[in-house]
Amino acid sequence: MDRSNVLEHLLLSRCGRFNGNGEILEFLEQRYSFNGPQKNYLVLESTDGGAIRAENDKKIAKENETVNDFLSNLNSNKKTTNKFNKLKTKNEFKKFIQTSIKHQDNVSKKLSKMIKNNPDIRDMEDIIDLKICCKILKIEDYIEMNILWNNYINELIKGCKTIDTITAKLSSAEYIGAYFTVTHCSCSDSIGIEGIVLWESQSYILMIIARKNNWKDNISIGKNDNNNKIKIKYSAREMIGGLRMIPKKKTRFTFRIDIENDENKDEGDKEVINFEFIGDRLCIKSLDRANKKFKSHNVKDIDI
Amino acid sequence: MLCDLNIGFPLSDFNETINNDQLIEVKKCINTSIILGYTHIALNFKPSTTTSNSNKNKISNDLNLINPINLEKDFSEFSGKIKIFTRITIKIDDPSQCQNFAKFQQIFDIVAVEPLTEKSFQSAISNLEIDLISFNLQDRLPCFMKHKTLCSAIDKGILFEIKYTDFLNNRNRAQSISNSKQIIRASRNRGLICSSGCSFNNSNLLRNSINVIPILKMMGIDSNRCNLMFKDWSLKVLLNGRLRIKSYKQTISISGDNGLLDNSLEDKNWDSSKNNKINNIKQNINTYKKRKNDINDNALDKILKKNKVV
Repeated sequence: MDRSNVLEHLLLSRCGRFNGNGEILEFLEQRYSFNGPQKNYLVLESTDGGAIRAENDKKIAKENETVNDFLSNLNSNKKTTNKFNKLKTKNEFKKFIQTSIKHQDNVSKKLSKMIKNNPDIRDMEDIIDLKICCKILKIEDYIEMNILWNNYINELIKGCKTIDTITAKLSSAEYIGAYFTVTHCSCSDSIGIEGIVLWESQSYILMIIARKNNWKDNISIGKNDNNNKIKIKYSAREMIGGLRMIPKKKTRFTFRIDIENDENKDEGDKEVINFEFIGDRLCIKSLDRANKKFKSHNVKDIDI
Repeated sequence: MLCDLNIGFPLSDFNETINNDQLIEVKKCINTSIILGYTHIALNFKPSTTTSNSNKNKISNDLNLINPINLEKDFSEFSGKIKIFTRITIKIDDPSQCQNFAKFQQIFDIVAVEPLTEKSFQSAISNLEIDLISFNLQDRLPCFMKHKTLCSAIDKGILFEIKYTDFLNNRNRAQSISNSKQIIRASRNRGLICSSGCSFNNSNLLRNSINVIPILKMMGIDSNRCNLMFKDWSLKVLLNGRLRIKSYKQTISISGDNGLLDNSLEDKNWDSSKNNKINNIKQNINTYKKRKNDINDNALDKILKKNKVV
């Protein structure tokens, strides 16, 4: 037996392909010959890569994903920074305000013309029955908001006994839904307007006012004399009511809080406190107002 | 609206109470000022103590005992004729001893100081929350009046007071005129108020604004500003003080019947407050409550009623 290829012989003897010792020896003889079928070089075939390959693939995929995300974010950011995107809530709300105010102006113009031709319209029970007025915002739709606000504010000031604590709490409260009355304003037309607050922005308060219902109802010559009541005609604008934009600057609003007590269930016995909203000092967005630390300033801009 | 923010109150200590003779004298003063056409007056309580010596132990901790002016009990007959407010003037000479000021701000409508030294004058402008600075014009001023200090005070909303009774007295008239000219010069003719400053037993020194204006004109103020000194600027002082009580940092204020100055709904009876649990009777919310039946319905109420009927 050839001593040279002991290891190979032993390995091949385990193999099922060879039936006897002779076959193995024959095979081994050809092993290192130049002309034989076996060549003395290693043949490497391409593999599927195994575990490392899979790991690498994962890494690459991850990288690609982050890059893709970044790119897509870039694209989407461009879209959201578009101020004039119609889908933005702010713009939609803006458009809603603009269109409804424009619509109100148009309708009031038409209505004043109609009243000239047909003065009976002035005595109509409810102006909203007219066909042109049907798209105008109605205060009746927003009463639910006011009820919600009343509950909220009652919960807020519950247990407060001094002016200090109540006004401090109210200064960081939300006023959307409150019923405001304009008492002082630089614009004399808007004095006396009362309505439900629809939105509070940095420098404006949007209110929805009632139709044919403001201070012009409550004028009387004598005290509590129903016979001597003066009747002032409502203008077309007041007749249709709707949305009003009132600047906060140089304006003061009053609002009423109905205090809910368990003891007084009778409507007339309810207790009421009036508060005043000084617009000059609250020219801040309502969101920022919650955390704002207020300071007293010179009062030269507040009219008495 | 004519204002006189300085009608002397005869007491000089926190613990004293007013007696009948003094009360009659004060009422005489108020009656005279009604005849002269004033609409807003302030009773000036002037404690004789200064901040540095022994003031601390005399002020009680109970806020309801500090104010000796009981508007509800003593002056209720003037309601409707004239609006009476309360004012305190504190002499400060040591600026480090002013921690008690927070108490006064909640109790008196107007808080004024009378600085006796330059340091206290500086600190009153920069640190304290006050409405008014007044000087004793018959003595020398504590320091030279600079444009910068006075104007910074006026920008902050602290005004300066000139008392016209100082010119009517024979005593030290020249000194008081030169002092007030100093103040007018340094304040550049703005942010001044003119008040009587009459002490309680000489109501004959009270004058109408028309009689005082020539004196002020003599000192170089034009007539429009003379009017402002009695009207608008005085009201601004009053408003500043009232808003401190009625509102939270001038944002949301509780609303009286007549605007921001009004104190008709306020609880003014300091005596009855002793058994009340509220710390400061002026802040009591209960007197502001009204019954819903007493006020007119607004538009919302009408709509709600209509809905109920339907």
